Amino acid sequence: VILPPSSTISIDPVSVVCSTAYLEGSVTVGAKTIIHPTCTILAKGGPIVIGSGNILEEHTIILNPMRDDRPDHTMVIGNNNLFEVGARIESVSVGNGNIFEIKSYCPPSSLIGDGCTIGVAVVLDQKEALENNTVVFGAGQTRHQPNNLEKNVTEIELKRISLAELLPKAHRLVRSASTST
Amino acid sequence: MAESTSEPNEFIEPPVIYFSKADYITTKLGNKISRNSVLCGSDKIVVLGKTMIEAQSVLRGDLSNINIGKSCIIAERVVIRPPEFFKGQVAYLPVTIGNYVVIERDSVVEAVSIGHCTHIGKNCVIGKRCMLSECCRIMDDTVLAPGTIVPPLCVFAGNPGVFVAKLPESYQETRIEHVNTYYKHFRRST
Repeated sequence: VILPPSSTISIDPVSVVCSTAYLEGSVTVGAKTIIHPTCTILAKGGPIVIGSGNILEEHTIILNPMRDDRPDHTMVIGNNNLFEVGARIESVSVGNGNIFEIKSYCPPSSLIGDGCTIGVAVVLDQKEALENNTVVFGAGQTRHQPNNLEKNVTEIELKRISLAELLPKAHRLVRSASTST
Repeated sequence: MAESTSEPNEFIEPPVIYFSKADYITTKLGNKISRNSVLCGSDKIVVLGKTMIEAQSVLRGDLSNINIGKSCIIAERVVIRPPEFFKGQVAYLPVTIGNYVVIERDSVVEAVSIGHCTHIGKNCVIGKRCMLSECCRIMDDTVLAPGTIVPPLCVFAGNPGVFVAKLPESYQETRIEHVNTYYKHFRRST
């Protein structure tokens, strides 16, 4: 983790954050969260708070951009979310138990509820607010699956347990509970 | 300059590209590996000779074994990660990549095996546990659904990726020649 000046990064001691990840600005990482190498978290227009049990894979970008309508807005990411390779999230807020598949993009004014699945290479519209348990796939088709949240959470939980064992063997981790420069 | 390295076109002879000694490591077997690439768990990554791994590409050897054949091109920002499967708990399968395989930039590969002389285009997503046979061509921006099996000498395109055309049997020869010239034209500046 490279710490630019005026960064406040606090990482929970139970989380697994690889040292090749790049965190910038005011970022809080919750317990049991796994951050893979080459993941980028940029808190430009306000702090980012990441909950517990999330998985952030390679080349993922979590960006809190400068917003004209809400200055110094805190971007809150809930618990048990999975961000797959190359996903780019700039949403206002993200709920719990969502899966963002490979190369999906959530623009700055979108809002994500609970238990959503955003398919491979899906680009959401500006100001799109996803209800709970929505599945978006292909060229913008959506449908509702009533028990999507429980399905996602069990899948992510299984993945997280095996990654929490595997990653510390091969990577240098950021172990400090709180770092600030 | 670095952008043009990742666009091998099969119809045009690749241009001569010079790299500086500070950016690339050249191994005894002729592999050219970028210093900016991320090779996780490098004891589980096996690379035979004359393979090129370009900047910012990620190979996840920490999850499972990755075997790469000779004379492969892995372009910029490519992610190769072993596919997962559920068997009580999550485990990861080893990845096998054959000889003369080209993976162009921004692609994500979660396949179990990729055969010889396969060409994967730009910005592709090869889903979990896919099996690509010998001499197939995946066009740009293709998304292969998890578990897709691509037969030999076939062209797949679209989202989700489907069969579009067949290739001639001479495809193997053209691929080998193309990869060899690309390797020769990627030279160290003096």
